Amino acid sequence: MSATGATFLLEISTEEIPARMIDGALRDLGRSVLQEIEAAGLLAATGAAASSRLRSFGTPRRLAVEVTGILDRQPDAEQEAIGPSVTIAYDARGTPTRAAEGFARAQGATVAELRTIATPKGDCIAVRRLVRGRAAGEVLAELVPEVLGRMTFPKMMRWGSGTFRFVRPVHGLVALLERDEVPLTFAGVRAGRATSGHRQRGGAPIVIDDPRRYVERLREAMVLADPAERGRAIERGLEEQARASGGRVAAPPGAPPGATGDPALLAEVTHLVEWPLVIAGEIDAAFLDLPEEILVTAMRHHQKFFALRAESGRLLNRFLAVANASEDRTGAIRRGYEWVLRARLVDARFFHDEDRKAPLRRHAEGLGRVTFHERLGSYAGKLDRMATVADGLLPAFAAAGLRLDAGTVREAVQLCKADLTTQIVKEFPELEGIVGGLYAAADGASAQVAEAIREHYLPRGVDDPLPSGAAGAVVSLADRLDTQAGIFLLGIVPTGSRDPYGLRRSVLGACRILIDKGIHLKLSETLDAALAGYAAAQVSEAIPAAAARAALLEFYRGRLEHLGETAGLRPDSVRAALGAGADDPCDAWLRMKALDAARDGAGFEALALAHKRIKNILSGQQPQDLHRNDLREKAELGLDRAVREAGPALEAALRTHDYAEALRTIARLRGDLERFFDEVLVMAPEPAVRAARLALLQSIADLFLRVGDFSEIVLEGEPAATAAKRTRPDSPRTGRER
Amino acid sequence: MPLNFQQLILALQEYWARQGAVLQQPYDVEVGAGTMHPDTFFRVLGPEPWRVAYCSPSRRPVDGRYGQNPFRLYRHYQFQVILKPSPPDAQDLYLKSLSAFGIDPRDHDIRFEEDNWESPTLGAAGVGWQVSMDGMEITQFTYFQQAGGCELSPIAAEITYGVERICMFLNDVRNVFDLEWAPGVSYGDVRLQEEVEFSRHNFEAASVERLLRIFQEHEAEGRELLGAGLVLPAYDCALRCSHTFNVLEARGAISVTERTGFIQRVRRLAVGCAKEYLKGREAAGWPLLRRSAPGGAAS
Repeated sequence: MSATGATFLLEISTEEIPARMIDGALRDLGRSVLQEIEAAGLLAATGAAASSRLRSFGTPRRLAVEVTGILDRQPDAEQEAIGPSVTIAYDARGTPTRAAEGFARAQGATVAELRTIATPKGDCIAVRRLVRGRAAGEVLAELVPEVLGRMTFPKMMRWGSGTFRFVRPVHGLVALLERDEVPLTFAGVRAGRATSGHRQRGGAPIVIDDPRRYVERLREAMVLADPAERGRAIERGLEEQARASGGRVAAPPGAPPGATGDPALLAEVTHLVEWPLVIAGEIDAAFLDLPEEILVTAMRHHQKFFALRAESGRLLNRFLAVANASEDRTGAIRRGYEWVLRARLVDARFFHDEDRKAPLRRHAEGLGRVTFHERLGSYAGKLDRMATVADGLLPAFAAAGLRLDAGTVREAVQLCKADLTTQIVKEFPELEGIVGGLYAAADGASAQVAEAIREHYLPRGVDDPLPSGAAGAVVSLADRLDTQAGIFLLGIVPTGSRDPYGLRRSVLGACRILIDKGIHLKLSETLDAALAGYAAAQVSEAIPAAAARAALLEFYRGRLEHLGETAGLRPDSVRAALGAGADDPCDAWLRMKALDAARDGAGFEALALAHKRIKNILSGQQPQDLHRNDLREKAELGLDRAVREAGPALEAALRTHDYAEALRTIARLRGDLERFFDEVLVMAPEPAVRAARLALLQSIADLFLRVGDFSEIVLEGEPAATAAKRTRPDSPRTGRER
Repeated sequence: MPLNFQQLILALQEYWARQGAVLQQPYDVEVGAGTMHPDTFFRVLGPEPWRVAYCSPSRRPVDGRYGQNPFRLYRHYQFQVILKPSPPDAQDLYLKSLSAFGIDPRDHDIRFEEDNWESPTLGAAGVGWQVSMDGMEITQFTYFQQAGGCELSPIAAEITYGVERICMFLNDVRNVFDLEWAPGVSYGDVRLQEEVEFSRHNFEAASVERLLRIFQEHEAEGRELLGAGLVLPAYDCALRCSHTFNVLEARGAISVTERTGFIQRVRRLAVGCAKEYLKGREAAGWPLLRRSAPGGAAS
């Protein structure tokens, strides 16, 4: 063992682990092993972060972790065993009783060694013992099987006659602390130092004598154990072969324009091989008249082949594949790949040609028989509802300068789901929308309609591009609103990790579209329209539409909060903006941004403070009418004038959604506000005066709330939680505010 | 010379017989997959060990292409192997079987890619892979976890070879009908007419009304037989229901919403058969547990 501690290596070898699970399993295993070793007091203190002691390796057939800096034994620890109360342990004369003797015996101590200590239950007898730390190997032998037994995978299994559950049958374990085997057993397998190399090319089982040489020994047996190294090797191979073929790796269909490469496919193939070999193959050029999207998908979907694009942008009749092999000695692998891809393309062509025997319109007629949701009916019903919702969105789009022809939108809605009945989409579900767009264009639909069909699934995920055109945006919104309304009508609200219909993504996508296109609408009214669409469908056991609407509005608010925070806005800025309403998501977003930008400016803190004070004063008070005759002091008259002057300027700024200007207008009230609070006692003894002052403050609060609830802003030195709590009317701090 | 169609089946039979499998023959009721053969469906239940291998014609009416598609068939052949309990060297045994038909694994890219299998009709589910060779899916390899709605113990490994695919691949043949079945006789000579006629039957000619009635009759018969404790005859009814349903589906007579209902009805029958079968075997004292299983496969 070196001065910096020993190295521990753990490898569990199994039958082939699904590619999608390997990264997660390695993270999970590494974290748990390190945590347990640290908790056992076995990690040497070096000042470096514990995580720097950990490395993980993994292939489809093994998961491995290496932890460095392990002590040879746990430090000794003093432990105090607490016995019975002194009143029981000693008699009146202070002589130890039988209870004390019994305790001492049980602890392996003499009565003379007993001490008295104070405990929450009063004075008790105790004995201090030195617990010797155990050897690292001994502790690891206990802790590793427990960690492995706790591992979970998205899908687990049993095998043979055993009762163990793991991701796949376990075949071997390597557990080495330096050069020593750690004696442990998991899933009926005893750990040792032997493992296997590449299944077809690794030769005899290999023996790991030193944990530090694990990666090296495996490399000799044709296994690249480090996923990062494997990924780089594949990338290098792809680049070289692509260059040799005169092209570049093509992006998958649906990727943002101009994108190259296929990172998702690369990540997947990295976990499908232990030793990668990039092989280039060729297809019959005649297949190039299939639409590109179909061609690329046929390559990547089942075969996990990379399509190649020439510099000119057109697809090449060549592809790249990653084999789990060191060489293609006889060329059998390349010939096999070509043969299989040809079969796939013949199939794809058959599906395409079958689909094209009827126009997309005819495919749409079959949607009555395709279930959208078992309790919400078919896609045909969905399209009818979407048409109404989309129609209702057009004025808001027009107001944002996006004029759309109602007929165009209706056509796009009618056709947008038609490709669900096509053979190509049944074969390659990831092409939904894309195929619809292709077929619509081939049928002679306008470019706008084709684009709307293609883009109406966007954005699919958080980083996905948004619909580029207004028509696609309308259809996407109508689709989302309809689904959200339907699922919420069923009383289903996403909670925690349960979001079976992807509603978080759906709502976030709707917000992003509204913001991107600058669409201002009243969400409550739009949702009413979407919910009303289901009235005729007579959904069984639906909750009342009003309840669904309320739940959905709350859900949108939560998503907007998430959107603001992930955009890097301070959480209290986001809360402040949403405190003034979230019924117009685009508006709420603009207010969040403006508020977050303005709050660092001079005087903003004073406004926030003023808002807090005003809210405190008003809390519990009846709303009052403002009788200006009852205002008499200079400071309050001045403030009233300033508020009245600010009104029109604020409205003008709000009309153009210029929230920076709105905030500047509000900020100009600061001087008058401060003077008011300095010079005027709000809670005046005369009821009429007090009422007028309260009403004046109310008019200011109303003004603020057009932009945000500034009282949500956490001021320096103020704990966040209290700031949030204080805005609740049920925790008044009020009394005699000046 | 690569193996022709019948040589391939013979090679598989011989190899698995050497591994101690009982060589069974295809079942004579229509099935959609080799898994539905009683020697798989029932034998994977309960504690008794079992090893079996057989070639199973698999009828999938929706896959019919009137004999015009070079890869898709209404009826194809699966070669099915059950190893129960699954031995630790199940994968190795499988890989060695490839050598039995002339494949040197070192010259190929052989992979086990995640593919979990589920049959709602049989109440069965398993975890495993599709095995691909040079990108071609040649086998389904599954560890059964559930069958007939029951959790299994011990676990059986199921290996299902796609015989046509493997043979086409070995012989570099691009159209299944051009495969050599036996010297001088092609796959098309043996099967083309059947593909054409059954495609017409499944897509055009079958009487929907009569099939619906047949489905009900088989279902009713199955329930009655099950009530009388006649498990195997009742299971035949479940198989007939399943096939009738498949034809109805090809015929376009079943909407997506109705589909679930039909599957549930077959499943109820199959699950009932499984439960009764287990009761019967238990009452008989699990006969195969008492001696070493065929070929010494007992654990």
